[in-house]
Amino acid sequence: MTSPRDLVGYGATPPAAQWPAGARVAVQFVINYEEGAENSVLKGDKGSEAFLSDMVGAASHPARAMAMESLYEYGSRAGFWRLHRLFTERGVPVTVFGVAAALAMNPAVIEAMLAADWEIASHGYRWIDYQYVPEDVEREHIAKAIALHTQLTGARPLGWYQGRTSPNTARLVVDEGGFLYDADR
Amino acid sequence: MPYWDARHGKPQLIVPYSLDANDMKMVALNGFTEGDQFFRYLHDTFEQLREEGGRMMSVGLHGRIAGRPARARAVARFLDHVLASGDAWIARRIDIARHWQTMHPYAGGAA
Repeated sequence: MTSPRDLVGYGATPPAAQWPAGARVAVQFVINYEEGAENSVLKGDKGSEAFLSDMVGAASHPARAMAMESLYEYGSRAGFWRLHRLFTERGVPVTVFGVAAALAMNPAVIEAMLAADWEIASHGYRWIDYQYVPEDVEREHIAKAIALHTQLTGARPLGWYQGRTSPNTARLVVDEGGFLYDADR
Repeated sequence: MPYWDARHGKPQLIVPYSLDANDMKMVALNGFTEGDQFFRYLHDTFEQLREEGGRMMSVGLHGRIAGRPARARAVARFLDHVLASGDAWIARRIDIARHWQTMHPYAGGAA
């Protein structure tokens, strides 16, 4: 039976990773930077953000939702910097999954990421659900994400993570052709 | 673990992200309610993968979630635990991708 899904993977015989210096395990920390790019009527979206905040199960309103905005803003105003201190004080490397439209609203965090020699991978153009976004719109958002990311950070992203993907995302990323890795699976 | 995916044309290296060891569980139904639970989950994931050997652990964080004081303390404890272990490679995702590309280049087939 043919299926586009792969239920087999490495199975019983995963390859020997051979991590550098004989390490037993590779540990990879991601700091997602999404705040400001979430759903908002200010950006022309149908409603306010409902996902991934301390208000679990929040409704989306066809208007600004001030408490939700505030919960997100805590992330860019204070939370990011607390994590930044924890990691830089210990010299621990980080990959940022940066949403282009979010990075554009806070140049100071970009400066801090680059100064810490963190990798900034692309987390898409907007922090919205792409499940039902038309393919041509999603393709355009991927191109805009790369262009804005390049303008803001001085280099194109080599890693990709959309997060709230559509059935087209993986193929559109391969078609774009410039990503060394995809993290959406 | 990283793998190659050739289902969409040119083989694409996948460096998997995970919602498992992820601060999303601090703001999910049936998720963690305090830093100690988050720390223990990170700790046990790390120790299990360390015992198995050759694995990759992906930890996902957000400023608005793990950046809260009590949760950040759990992240700090975990960082110190990993640093003290002495046998973990803490790397940026791009470094893992480059390692995989060099050591495990695409060799045909689905994976």
